[in-house]
This record gives sequence, C-alpha cells and structure tokens, in this order.
Amino acid sequence: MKRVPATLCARCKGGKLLCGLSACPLLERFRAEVRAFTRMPSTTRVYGATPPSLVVGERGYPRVAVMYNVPPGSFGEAAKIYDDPQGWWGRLSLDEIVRLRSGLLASTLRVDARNPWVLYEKEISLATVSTRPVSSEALLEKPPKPSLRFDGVLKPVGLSAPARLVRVEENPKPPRRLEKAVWDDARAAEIIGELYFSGVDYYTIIRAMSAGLLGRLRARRLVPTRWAITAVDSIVGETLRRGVRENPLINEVELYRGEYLGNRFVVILVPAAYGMEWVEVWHPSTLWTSGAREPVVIINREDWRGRWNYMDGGYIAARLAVLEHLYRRRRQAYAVIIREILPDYYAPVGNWHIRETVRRALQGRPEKYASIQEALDRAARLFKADLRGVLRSLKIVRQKTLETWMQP
Amino acid sequence: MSDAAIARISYPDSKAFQSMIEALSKIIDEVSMKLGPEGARIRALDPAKIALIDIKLPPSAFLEYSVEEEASIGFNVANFLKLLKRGKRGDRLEIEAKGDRVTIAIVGDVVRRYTILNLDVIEPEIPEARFSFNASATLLADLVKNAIRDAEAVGDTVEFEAPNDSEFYIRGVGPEGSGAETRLTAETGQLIEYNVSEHSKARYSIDYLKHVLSLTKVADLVTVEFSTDAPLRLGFSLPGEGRVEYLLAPKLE
Repeated sequence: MKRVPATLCARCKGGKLLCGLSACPLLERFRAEVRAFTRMPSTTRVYGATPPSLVVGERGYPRVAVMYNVPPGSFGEAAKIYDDPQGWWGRLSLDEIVRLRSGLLASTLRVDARNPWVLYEKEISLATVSTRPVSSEALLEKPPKPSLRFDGVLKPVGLSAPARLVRVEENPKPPRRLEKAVWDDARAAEIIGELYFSGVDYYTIIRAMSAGLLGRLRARRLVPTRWAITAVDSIVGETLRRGVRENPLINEVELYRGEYLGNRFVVILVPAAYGMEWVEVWHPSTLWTSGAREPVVIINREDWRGRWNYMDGGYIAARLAVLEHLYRRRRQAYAVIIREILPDYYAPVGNWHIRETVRRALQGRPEKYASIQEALDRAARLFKADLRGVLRSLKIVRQKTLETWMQP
Repeated sequence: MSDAAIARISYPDSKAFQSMIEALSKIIDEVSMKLGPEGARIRALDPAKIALIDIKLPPSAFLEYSVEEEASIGFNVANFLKLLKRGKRGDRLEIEAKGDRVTIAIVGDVVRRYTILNLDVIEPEIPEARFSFNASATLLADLVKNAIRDAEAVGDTVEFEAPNDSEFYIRGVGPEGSGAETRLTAETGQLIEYNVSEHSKARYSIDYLKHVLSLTKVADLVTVEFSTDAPLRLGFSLPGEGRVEYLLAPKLE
C-alpha cells in the first residue's frame, strides 16, 4: 500500500487529494466507523424544515450535486439547531454536533451550476437563505443511505439520497437586504461587502453565494459550498485588510486565547505593519496524522500585501476573525495565530468553529507584554506540544527591520 | 495653475524604466519621484520597514531633462507599471508634469500618450542610512540571479558568506540542514572586484531578494555589500547613467 506522509494529509485535509488517490482513504475508513451513529429511515418521502442548510458539491462541476438538507420530522425552532454554528459554539460538544448532523438528510438534485435559476423558480434558493426554518417535502428515488462525510471546511451531513422532487411548503423569510441583493446586477464581491457591513448573518451570505443568488445576473452560478466559504472569507477579508493597513499600530504586544472542540488557539498581536503567521500543530492520532509519531507543524505566512504562501480554509477563517477585530478597533498589527489540534478533535466538522473560536478569543481581555519574546515564551507554555523551536523560527522573530540601522 | 510645464523629462529606454518600477511595485503601492537639479530620485521604504529601494538618475541619464525648480510626481506604482508594459524594447519614455496632471508618453513607431493625476503622496520620513560594509563584491548580474534562483529551490532564506578575499559563497538554507551552495572565486574571474575586511556572514529573505531580480535584466553588474547579521546593499548600475540601490534587513539564525 502507498504510504502517504502525515504532513501532506494535514495540509490536504481530505479536500485537495494531494496524495493522488481518487478518494481520501482516511475519510473512507472514518466514515465506515461512524456509520453506526446513523438512524436509518426506510421511507422515500421526507417531511421536515430545512434549518436552512445547503451543500453544493464540487465533484463533476459544472454538473453539481445540490444537497438540500432537512432533519426528517423536525419543524420550526427545533429544526434550527441542525445548522447553527453561532448557536452551537461553546454549548455543543463534538459528539453532539456529529450526532445532530447525522440526523440530517440530504435530498440530492443534479443541477447544472450555470443555471441556478431552476432552483430559484422552485423557491429552493430562497429557502436556503431564510432567517427561519422552512417546512419542506422531498420525494426520494430510493431510501436514503448513510453518508456521513467529514471535511476541514464543510459541516458533515448524515444521510443522503437522490431526490425526484423537493418542494418548499412555506414562505421563506430571507433578510430584507439580501432579498434586494438577489435582483442587484452587481459583482458578487461588491454585494458580499454590502451584505457583510449591513449585518447580514455570515453563514447566510455564504449560502446565498453558494445558491447562485449573488453577482451579475447573467453570470450567476451555483458555487460549490467549499469554494463559496473560501470566497466569502477572502472577499470580506480583503476589504477589511485594505482598511486595517491604513490604521495606526497597536501599542503593546497582546496575547489572546480560546479553545473549543479540542482546538486550542493563541493569537498574538504585535505592534508592527500588517502581516500574519499561521502555525498549525496536529497531534499524532488526530484524523490526518494517524501515521505520525510526532506533532505535525504547518506554517502559512501572509505579507503586508495580502499575499499568502498557500490557500487554506482554516487559515482564511482565522484570518477573517483577526481582521474583523483590528478593523473594529481601527488599529493595525502583525498577527501570529497558533492552532493546536488535540487528539479529542476526532472528527473534522468544518471551518466554522475556527472562525468562531478566534472571534470569541479576541473578544476576551488580552494579556499584555512588552516584547514579542515574552509573549512567545508565555504562548509556548499554553500548548501541549513543545513549540519553542517553532516559535523561535517565526518570521516576526528572525526578520529584522531596517530601523535598527536607520537612526534619524 | 499656469499652463507651463513644471517638468519635462525624456528617458531613452522605457523597458529599463519598467524594470525599476517593477521592483518598486513589489514593495510599495504609491511613490513620488523627486525632480531637482541633481536629477530624479525615488526612495521607497516597504511598509514592514524591511527593504528600501533608492533610485538615482542624474540629468545626464536623460535625453531631455528640463526641470524649472524642484518638482514631485506622485503615482500609483501598479498603474504606472501597466502603462509601461504597453511599450516595446527601444521605445522612449517621456514624462511631463503640468498643473495637477502628468502626461506619460511611450514613443516608438507609434506614440502612446496617457494622462494621469499627479498624486499627492504622503512621504514618510526616511532617514539616510549610513553603513560600513565589511564585505563587498562586484559580480555579473546573471550570476547573482541564478544563485538566488538555486537557493529558492531549497528554502526561503539565502546566506551570503565572505570568509576571506578569495572566496564568496551564496547558499540556500532549507529546513533540517538541507541547502544549495554557489561558490565564487577570484581566480575564475567571477569576482570582478572583491574586498573583505572581516569574515562576514548573514542571511536574507529570498522573497525580498526576488523583488529586485527584474533589475538584473537591465544592469550587467551588481555590487553586493554586507556585514555579519547586518543589512545587505545591492547596487545596480544602469546603462548610460543612473543607479539603483536596494537595502535589505537581515534575518537572524
């Protein structure tokens, strides 16, 4: 059997298939293990309210699978909890999230991504951006099969079956600003910025992007959800970054921390020109690193211009949270974000928790330090893995500036 | 505002000018070119304060250089670069500042004329840095370019070492001790001029060094000056006259 290095898996997270295999063997094995979770209805007729929840697949693009998710038998507020990252945070354990999601049924339609209007006509698109759960009915072609899939960016869904028909049985209630945006013939990047700054729920914006509700009217596309998440994070992040880099610097070195679902974060803000360093540490025996003996460390960097070494769904979600914080404070800083993934994080459930944990960490009161070194020494003590070597090699530590040699 | 031009200059090679602007575009968004009796000068410090580009073009570098008094032309570097890219080898570049407008003409078989706004670029105070360098080498520009490209294959850091005045090393430093090494010696004539007053060794970011590689297209020779764990200065002499200096802060081990 082919041996795939753990560092590759930790970077790929089952999404990019960097190993060259046609399906991720780690995910396949893992999926088989958790099938036991799933309760299996044998009917082909499904009633329930979508929380709302939608996944557009990327396989076979532009002929994509649209997965309209409904918890069978749950309606109204009881349905909401099946897809509610903001409501989950800090309350639900990983087990509970996996169990909830395994009760979600995906009615799958094959649609041409270039014609999102077929979903719009049936009210399906608007139902997926509703602020309230929307009662729906689906007629399946065959009884659903368990398909609990895990991914570093997407939330898992328990069951799926090809659908003959999906019927929306209640009027969706999209946010008013978004309802207007649907008929706005402007570029998606512009509209996303407007929706974000007018306070529309972040996850609703992502679903709107995915459902093909945003952009130039003639260029509307269904966007695979994983791409839509990354697109919204990078579009909003870019707008914030342009503001942030004109701001005055913070005054002291600040350290923030947060932890949820076996993911430990430390954010260090340094009074220096904008830039970021992302350190991701996977303990052995997490999903991606089952073959490793020692923690696997991945580093990503972004310069003042917003150019990063490689695109990563986890990084870009954490980066968004940091940029939001700096933008609101009207300050500029260089950020070091450290993410440690403990063995308790046995199932990846999407990148939403990274965004939310870092957001909440930055709402806390920071520890303040006079130097980067002191803050890094402190940070090293907050992790289970020994990160002293890694932290010493950070660019913010090793790269000097010309100021030392330029006395006025 | 009067209609008289406050400055009119004409540079013989728009492609050479493009190389300079390309280097600037890597470190900064907006910049101002100062025109005075000494010639044209652009100084740009990157916002992270790691690198500084200093371009000096004396009046003799220009075909025409008529500057009434001190003038300043501010522009967005990326936009200016876009215009310059429209030119061909051998085209001439003419810049005329009048009121709050700047007219840029690329003159070849056809004349392309663009008018842009003279931006009021806020100039950061950049103190003149004074240095003494313990090692100084003059090399063929291509040699430096290739050594940096080789180093890039193994990592993100390059190390310069001058142990004595007959050998010079350019090394790529990779993770876990991997590396690539280029050894240059005085005997083979690769070191056109070489002075070492003290054993010197320092490391620099390849990303930042790559910013000025575009200049190796127009300069035949490069001077490399540095000291242990101190800034690096790369000097590019342009054909005709004029000089570009690139100052880069070190990375510590």
